[in-house]
Amino acid sequence: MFPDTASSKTTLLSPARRLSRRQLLGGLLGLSAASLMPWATWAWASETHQVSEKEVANFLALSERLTGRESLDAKIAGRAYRVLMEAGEDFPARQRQLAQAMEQAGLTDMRKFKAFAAAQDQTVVDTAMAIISAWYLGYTGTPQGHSATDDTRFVTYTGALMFEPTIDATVIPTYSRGRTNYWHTPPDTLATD
Amino acid sequence: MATQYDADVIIIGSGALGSNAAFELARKGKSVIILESGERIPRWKILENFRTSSRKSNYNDPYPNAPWAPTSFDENYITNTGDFEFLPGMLRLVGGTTWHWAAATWRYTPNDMKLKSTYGVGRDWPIDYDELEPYYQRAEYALGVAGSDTDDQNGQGGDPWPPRSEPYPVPPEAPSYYYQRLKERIGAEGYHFIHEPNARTNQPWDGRPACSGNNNCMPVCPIGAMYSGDVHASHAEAAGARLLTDATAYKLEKGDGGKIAAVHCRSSNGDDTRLTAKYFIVAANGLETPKLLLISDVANSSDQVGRNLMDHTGMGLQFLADEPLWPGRGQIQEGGIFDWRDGDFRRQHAAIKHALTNKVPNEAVTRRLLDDLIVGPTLDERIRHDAARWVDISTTFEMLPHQSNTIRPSSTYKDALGIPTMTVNYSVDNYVKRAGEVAKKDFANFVRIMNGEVVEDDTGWQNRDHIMGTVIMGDTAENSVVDGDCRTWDHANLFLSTTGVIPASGVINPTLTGVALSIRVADTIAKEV
Amino acid sequence: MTFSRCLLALTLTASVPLLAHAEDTGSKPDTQQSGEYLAKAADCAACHRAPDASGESYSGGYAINSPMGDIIASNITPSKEHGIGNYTELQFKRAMQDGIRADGEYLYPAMPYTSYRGLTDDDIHALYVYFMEDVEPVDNAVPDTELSFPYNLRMLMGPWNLLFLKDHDAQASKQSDAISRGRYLVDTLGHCGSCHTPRNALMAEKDDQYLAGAIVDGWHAPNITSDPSGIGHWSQDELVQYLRTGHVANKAQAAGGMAEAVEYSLRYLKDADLQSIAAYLQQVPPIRNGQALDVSSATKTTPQASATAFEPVRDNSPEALTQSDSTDGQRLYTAACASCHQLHGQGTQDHFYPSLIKNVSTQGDNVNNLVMSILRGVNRQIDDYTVAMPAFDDQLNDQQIAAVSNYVLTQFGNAEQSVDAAQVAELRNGAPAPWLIRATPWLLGLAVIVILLGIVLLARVLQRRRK
Repeated sequence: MFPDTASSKTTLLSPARRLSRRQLLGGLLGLSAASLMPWATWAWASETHQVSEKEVANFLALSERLTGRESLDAKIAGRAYRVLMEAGEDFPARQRQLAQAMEQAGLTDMRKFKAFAAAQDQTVVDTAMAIISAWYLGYTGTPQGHSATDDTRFVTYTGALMFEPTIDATVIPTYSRGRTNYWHTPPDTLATD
Repeated sequence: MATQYDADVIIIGSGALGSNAAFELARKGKSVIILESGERIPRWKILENFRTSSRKSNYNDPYPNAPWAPTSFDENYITNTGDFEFLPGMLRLVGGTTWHWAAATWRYTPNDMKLKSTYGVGRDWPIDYDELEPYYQRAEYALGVAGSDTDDQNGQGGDPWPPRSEPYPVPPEAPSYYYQRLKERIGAEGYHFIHEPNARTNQPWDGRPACSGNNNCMPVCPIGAMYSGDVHASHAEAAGARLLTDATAYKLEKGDGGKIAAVHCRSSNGDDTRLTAKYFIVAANGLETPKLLLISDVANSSDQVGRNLMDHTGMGLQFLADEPLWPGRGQIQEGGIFDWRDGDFRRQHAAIKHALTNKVPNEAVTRRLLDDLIVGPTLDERIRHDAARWVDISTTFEMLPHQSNTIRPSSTYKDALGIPTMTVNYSVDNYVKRAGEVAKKDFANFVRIMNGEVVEDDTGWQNRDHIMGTVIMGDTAENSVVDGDCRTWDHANLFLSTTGVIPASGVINPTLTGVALSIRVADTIAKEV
Repeated sequence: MTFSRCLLALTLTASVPLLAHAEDTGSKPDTQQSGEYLAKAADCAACHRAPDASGESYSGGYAINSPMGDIIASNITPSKEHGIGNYTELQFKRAMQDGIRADGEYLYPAMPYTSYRGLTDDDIHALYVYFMEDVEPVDNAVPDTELSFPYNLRMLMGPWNLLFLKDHDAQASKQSDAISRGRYLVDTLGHCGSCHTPRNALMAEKDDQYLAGAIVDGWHAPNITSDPSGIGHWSQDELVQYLRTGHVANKAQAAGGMAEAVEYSLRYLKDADLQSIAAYLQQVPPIRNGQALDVSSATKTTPQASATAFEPVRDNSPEALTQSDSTDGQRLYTAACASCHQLHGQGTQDHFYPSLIKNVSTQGDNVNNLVMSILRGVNRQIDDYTVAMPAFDDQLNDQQIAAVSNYVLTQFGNAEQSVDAAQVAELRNGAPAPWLIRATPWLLGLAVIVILLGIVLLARVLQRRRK
């Protein structure tokens, strides 16, 4: 297990978690000014149970850059890192390859990711998308609808970033947002959505 | 000397159908044993299983898939030999598959039940709507069905239809903004939107709370507002029925005088038990029921057991509308477009139902954007933009019974108890394919009206998990497995409570009809036992 | 509705000055109420209902849960065969105020005649006219109440009445109209003390603990005196809102017997009457009963955990997906409670699902209402909808309910309180019995010994005389 190194993220449905676009943009600018990632010194374990706090911190930093977020949840990072390693033991090496490529391309504004991706090996792009997917979807792998097994691995549910942009309007399924029939009227933000 | 029995009635299966029959019999003072292959699991545990699942779109995943009680997604549970991959999501636990059924509770219409005599295709039911109506009413009260007393459920904008002897027990829930806007714009071109009667009660009912839009009807309602069969399994127990879990029925034993003498069941550790009763109800769903009959070599003098397999095989449409509609607020289903539910066209092609899906679309939206390498702040903006505009329509088609659409015990695979799994041969006929072309024209209209950007309008055929026809009901012992009372023609004390008895599928979800028939079975048996 | 709630009306005694006549209350024509309204205010319907919700009002048959056994509510429709259709007004008044039926039998004090003894003659008349003329007769035979010995001896109520049935004092004329009206509604019609005043060994209300809070059928009827441990932190408007709806956001929600009082009675009262009740309660002499309870400032003190804490990595084995005997309070809370009350106990923004942080049931000194809500659920019908929380007694065992309660208390509520499985078991099986009931076998034994001793003494006396 990992100590909770980063300050605990505010979680589900707390007002602080509803990021406005302005906040997102602010986070992005903050990142672009951040120091470069010292990828060259990264070391990693070969087994998930040997994963060190330092590795998770590195993964967290890379994840924050890839998602444009300032402070992702360190415990979710620990989980995501380990399941990505379980899915492919070369993940640490691919992660380093990705960080190196981002460094060399000077990729800090993730709006320019597509252009970056076009110039990279497919493995670099796949690694980036595997990390981003884990954070946004809360799992790794590809679900099979009509099978008892598949290659998916769980990371988080309520912590999945895909719910943040709509948390003021809809729900994280299973969690209620209020009184029966509240849904008869649209969200307050309708006019600007 | 009178024969000693283990029970008056043994019911195989604790799903919504079996449990409603069990409750009706137990409360009339009959001794009842319910056999369930799975276990009893409290709702909170299933919910935890769901939230920690890595594949939330797989509706069987929160439920145990035990070697001795496999869900339908277990490898080799079904081997398909036809040109369609028939694979419904079926569960094994107390309460059965209604744990993730979404709870649409339509009635058939009088014409649905007289398809052959009205439109010259398929089969007629041996009973008519008026005989079933009082049982529909009882089933709706048992399940706490919310519905509109004013809709013409034939989708023609006429008077309320089908006829009702009493109002729905619960009024309809308020339509979501999403539903209202689609109805306003698509309805303006003449399409009829009909509220979906449902057992997702919006007022407290029978110990269940009101739905408050947790938006997770499938694969588990987190608060128990949505009806599931465990409600009546518990009611039956409270009324004196004995519920045995980890008890998989694997053989019906024939006795004297054409009667069934006993059922043999097996536990997960291989122990076998033989139980006797005066009457038997097999309520093991539309696939396991014919499998059990075929393995036991009972009730099949007509050679119709395991034939006539029907699903409401469907297709889907997803697109992004030109305005924010905000699906995902409220229940995951609300109703849909019913213009093709009934009419003379049924001589030519299947009836069609377009149901609106109102599920929080974030996962589908996000996967699509990630596939397009959209990341960073743009991703968050697009998730909000697209999730607000996501329209999902689930379309289903009426099926006709065919001898060649079959479910058989597998000759290759067995489960951990040594019981054969299944082989299914299922193909979609031209009656449905012609309707598919009609539905695609509707899809194009919906997209045009909403000025939409198509996400997916060619899904191919999809499972809808409405299993019918496999132990078909009819008017003669030569053409069917059961009579109009769901009694097997071959064995006077063997009844089948399953949607598998349904001989004409219509286009609506069949579970309410199954419950109504099952309550009727209980009434019939109670008079005799 | 519980027997205790009604029974507590037994012992309205000298320390609680009450009113004997309408003139003393300062009642004016504008406060004279129709019989129908009085019947609502007196909460007749909560007890005299049919066993199931679809039955007719006042047709009876509902089993009132009492420590002595079920008391079957009578049919009080004007059915001549099964109801009170043959009652004269005098007989009606005797039943209402002396606890004696038309046939001369004693009523059990589940019927709060000790409270109704304070009713004005005008109000008795209005009630009589209402029940005779406006209520539809329902020919519904109601089974007899059959309590076990010795409580099946209705004649015992004779001496009991001598002890506890007293006229209400009439000292309130010095008080304002609103306060007087409030007192009449609280003490006479609403018989609030029957739940909210604790009782002595003979199940009579403790006069010196008037409205200071009591346990009724497992639920805690809280202190409603003006003390800070009572309603001292409530505004008059909050009290009125609570009485009308059973719900004050970030404060309190009614369940159990109070939900029934709201559903059957209080929500029908005029605003002026609810204001009077609130105004009266706010000047009831304070009695300290536990710590001051101001939940408006309550906050969750523990830091919010990572989502990973709520979402353990799943073991996919069928055994693990089935096993449901965990006593990990956080897991149970997350799966059984958080769908509505939310992961951090904050409830929903619209307060439809209440906060567990700003909530008297989690912040107070008494944990009964927390445990009882989990065991029995909540059901409270108000004007436009019914609030319902499902009961968890069939999903969670005693250890699990204790665990989830303790999680709620430590994370959101009063961390100094805790619950153990034995407490849950006791509440699950019915509230702990009052002293009188627990002591009944001993009391009966004692009575037998006394009688035997008497016989022995008598025999000796007779023997001596013969000598």
